[in-house]
Amino acid sequence: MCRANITHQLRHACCHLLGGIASIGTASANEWYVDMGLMNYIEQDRNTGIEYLLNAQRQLDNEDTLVLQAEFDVITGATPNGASASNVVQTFTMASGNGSYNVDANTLPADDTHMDTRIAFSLGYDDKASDTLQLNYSSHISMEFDYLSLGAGFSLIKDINQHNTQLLFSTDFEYNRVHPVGNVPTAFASMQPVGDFQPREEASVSRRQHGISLGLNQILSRHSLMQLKYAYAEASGYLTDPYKILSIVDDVSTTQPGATLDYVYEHRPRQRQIESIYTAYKTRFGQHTIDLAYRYYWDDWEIRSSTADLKIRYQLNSPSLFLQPHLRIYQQTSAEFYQHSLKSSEPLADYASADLRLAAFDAYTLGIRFGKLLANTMEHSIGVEYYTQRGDSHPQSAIGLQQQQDLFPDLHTLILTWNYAFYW
Amino acid sequence: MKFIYLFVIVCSLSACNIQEVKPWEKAILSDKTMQLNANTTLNSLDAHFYYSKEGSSGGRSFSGGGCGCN
Repeated sequence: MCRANITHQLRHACCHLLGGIASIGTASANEWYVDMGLMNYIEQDRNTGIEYLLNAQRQLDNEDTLVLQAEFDVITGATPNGASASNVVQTFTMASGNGSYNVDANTLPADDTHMDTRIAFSLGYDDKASDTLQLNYSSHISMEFDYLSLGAGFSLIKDINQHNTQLLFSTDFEYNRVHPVGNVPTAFASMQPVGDFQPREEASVSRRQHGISLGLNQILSRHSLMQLKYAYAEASGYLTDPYKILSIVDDVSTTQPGATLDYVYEHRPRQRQIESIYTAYKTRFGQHTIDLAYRYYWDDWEIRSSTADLKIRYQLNSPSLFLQPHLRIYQQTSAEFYQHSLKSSEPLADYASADLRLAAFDAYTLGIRFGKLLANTMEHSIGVEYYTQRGDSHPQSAIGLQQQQDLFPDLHTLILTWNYAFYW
Repeated sequence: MKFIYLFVIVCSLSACNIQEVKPWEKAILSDKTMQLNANTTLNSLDAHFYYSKEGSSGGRSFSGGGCGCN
């Protein structure tokens, strides 16, 4: 082992022995600790996304740490637009109003003209104020051609109980500017054919989110620790998806009940209160590490979700190689205003959305990661995962022709990831 | 749901048995794999992916996504 690696190991060990619960990065003085990640996900018949992330940390002379992060991602493919599948070919006007796209009969309507590119940067500063107090300041900017997000955060970690317990507090604020293609659609207005006047309002609108989090890290034994966190956040402003629509189906006709008559733009509440409890447990069995986490989430849109996540890092015979199976189970209830479509005979509700992400569904992730520890904290790994969503394909509220359609087609996604961390 | 109940039971049993750990007994805990956020980069990629596919987010980190994907 080279001298540099020994130095890293000693510095790393000393840091954690003195600091108790490891929670801050692995930066060391006069060097950058660079952690790169790449994710490529491929959804069957829908989107393909590539996301690249670079995180670099450097410990300064005063033991504070500077954290820089850059992200770049591209999504292309077909995104569900909210309309219901139908027994006939459907034609939709593009957001720009300058073109249209067709969707085959008996197919989930999705906008295959969709392409999005995002670039984001964040800057963080970890201030080691004392032996028992760490402060963190962070900020980010994220840019898409139709979206701008600016955010800032502050967090505090206080060590007590001989560094066996950490008290956590954090607060964040985010300001977002949405400027959709073709301007902001009028809520519940009908989608118009290409060439006609499109029902649009202002060019851009804003949404904000702020939140706080309180938590506790606790060492349980020489080989196990846990975390417990409560988070509260409020979002306000334009929370609607400007590209999502709903089908209005005929529930009056006796000859073709369930036929699509019109498409209208969705409308969501302008406020959202979000709460969650998150707990994580980590333990070491021999050379192997078990990582369990559970989150319960609830908000005033009536979405409730449970997420359980299990990772087992299994060291192979060679101490530098590992396999890490991953299982994630997710269950979600629907938002109170979620509807797969609207009925022509009923008056419009205050809010409605057919976004499948607001529907009730279960999701499962199953995957495995293979990696090699190159030196202390330097690591190279690749992973493959399968993610699926299953909802109610044939809800009782479907009428007539809709009963022949799959109103929540399963989502099947292959996820490939790559990670490389090194000193530079 | 059985998985969730099992998790809660395991955590509860562990929390009932907190041992005082001295600095020189933290060799295992000092390992990078024992950090609660052992891989921030992969966790960030995961969080962004799930934020764009599901109706809820947050927990480990801030629930805002910094993007227009949800």
